[in-house]
Amino acid sequence: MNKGITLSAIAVIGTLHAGVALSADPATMKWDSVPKSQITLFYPGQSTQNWMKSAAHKAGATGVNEGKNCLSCHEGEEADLGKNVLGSKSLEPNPLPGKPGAIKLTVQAAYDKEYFYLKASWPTQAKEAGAFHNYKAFKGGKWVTYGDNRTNKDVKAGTAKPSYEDRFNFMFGDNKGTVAGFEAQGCWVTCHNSMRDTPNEPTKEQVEAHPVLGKVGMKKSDIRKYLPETRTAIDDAGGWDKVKDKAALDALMAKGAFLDLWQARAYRSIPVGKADDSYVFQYRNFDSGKKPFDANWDGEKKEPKFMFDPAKNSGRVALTEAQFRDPKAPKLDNTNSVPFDAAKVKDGDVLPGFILNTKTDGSADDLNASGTWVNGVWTMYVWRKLDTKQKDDIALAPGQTYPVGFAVHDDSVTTRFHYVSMPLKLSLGKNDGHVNAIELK
Amino acid sequence: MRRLWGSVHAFFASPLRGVLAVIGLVVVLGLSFVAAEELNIQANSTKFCVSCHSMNAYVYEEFKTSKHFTNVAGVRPECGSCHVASRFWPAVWDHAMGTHDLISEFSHDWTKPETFEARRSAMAEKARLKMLGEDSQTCRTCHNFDAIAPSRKRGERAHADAKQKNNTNCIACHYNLVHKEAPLTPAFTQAIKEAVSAAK
Repeated sequence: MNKGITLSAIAVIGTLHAGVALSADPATMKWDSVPKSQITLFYPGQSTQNWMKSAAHKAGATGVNEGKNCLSCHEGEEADLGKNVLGSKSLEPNPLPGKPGAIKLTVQAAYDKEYFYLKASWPTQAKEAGAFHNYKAFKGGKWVTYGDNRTNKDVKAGTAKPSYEDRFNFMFGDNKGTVAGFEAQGCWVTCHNSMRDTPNEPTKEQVEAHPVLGKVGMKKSDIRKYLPETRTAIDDAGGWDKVKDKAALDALMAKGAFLDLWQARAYRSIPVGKADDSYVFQYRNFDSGKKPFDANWDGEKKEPKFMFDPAKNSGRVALTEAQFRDPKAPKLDNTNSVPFDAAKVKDGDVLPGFILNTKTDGSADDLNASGTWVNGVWTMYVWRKLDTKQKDDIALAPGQTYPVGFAVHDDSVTTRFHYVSMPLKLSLGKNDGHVNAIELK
Repeated sequence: MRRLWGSVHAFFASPLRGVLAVIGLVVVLGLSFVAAEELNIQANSTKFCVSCHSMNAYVYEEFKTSKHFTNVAGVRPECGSCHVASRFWPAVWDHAMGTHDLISEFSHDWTKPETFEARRSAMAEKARLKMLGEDSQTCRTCHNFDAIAPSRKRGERAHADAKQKNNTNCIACHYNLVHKEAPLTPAFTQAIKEAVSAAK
């Protein structure tokens, strides 16, 4: 039986977004004539860039330090690598039961005069669409975790259920080698000890006390992807705290020393017709403007920020437990929500951990996405103007080849528990990439 | 001085005495070489090395778990096979330099593992730099680069690349084969880079 859901940008928000209206609808495009690339994504565990350059990587470290591409040794053995990582206590001290070492991702790419289109599909581990994210429930007078990723402590303890969105991720750099090492090391150039779920992770308090990243600066409480060039030094702790001064960072950014990162999120972006448009620089930053989602959690009050407008949710301010991961249940967004009122909730009420924004704007608005999950296979489309003219995006151009990396978060996971590609290449109108986009005429 | 020269001159006035002197010198030198070589061999042996606590308690135990100790070919090197030059005079030099280790052996409490671990990185760096500087000569005593058939594709690729670049200094890649993992120090990493550049 065909069980599937469709999260179509077009169906959900129609022509709210000018970008969607002007581009072709990738879901109805003729993809049969577009070459398919089968890419093996493998499980990387804690194999950070620090690990790659360490004695633990054995002879590989010499190759990395020499500037060799990972593929020069590992091409074709991705599946074995993933299996080995899952069996390695140092690279994966907490393996998730039943997780395979690798998955197959099928990628197609095309472009027309104005837009670039990416289609990606993969068979999911779960027997249902991972189109839901985390949830909180009101129980015994307080809000507790109801659903979250499989490595969340409450989920591991069995007091909460696994629930986290699936994601298709695409990272790319310019074709001038502006980000050192990306062409040879791929996404590993962004992955360091000290990041969430990696070795030597700093405490929340340590990050919050940092003058640039912490409370008085970027207001971060954990460390996410960053480029080594944004640090004065890299060490076993990753160098997370050794951020270069503003003038040095501004100069790097001005010359385009960052990586574009697209994340088609099955819950937090696709339902509003968008992919999360980000870039990796001194942190994994969101593009400027109003992004497709915001956290629905007030950390100080320890309660949600928004709840459903009862007038738009059959008189209820929240979901019921029976509506947890129900495709027909409404998603909390800016059109059906009101500020949270503690007096109106009752025991057993469930609220999403994030609120969606149907009115994205700025650079965060220019990356479109849609997706369907049918018979255990996700198919996601991401598309954008070739050149958005935004300072936090990297322009694509016909006749060029770019260094890229692909990744997938599958089966209610986050952070390192994803599948990644080797450093690959994407060509537009050429034939020298691992993925070759053809021109639509 | 004149008297000494006179005595020598008088002694060699007889040709027989001259011949006997040369024979005597050859015999003494020969026996010295034999003794020195025997000393080299004995000092190269694992048995000799592990007679020191620091070697026996740590590095020998690690050696026993390595492929260099037990393997399909049934070949087992002695400590000196890797760490001491195979030619006579370089071996004498290595052993002379090695006497420094005796000072270290008796000036630290090696019964404590932390004593060894605190020095592991520096000791590994010293051994690695020595081997790198010698173009992995001791490795090549047993291993012929062209005769190596890596079991994995990655090994095949790496060896083909190394040969093409004339960069076959074994230790540049195989720096953690026998003993417990020691970090890649900046000095050794830099030395590898220089060795790679020099090979190009």
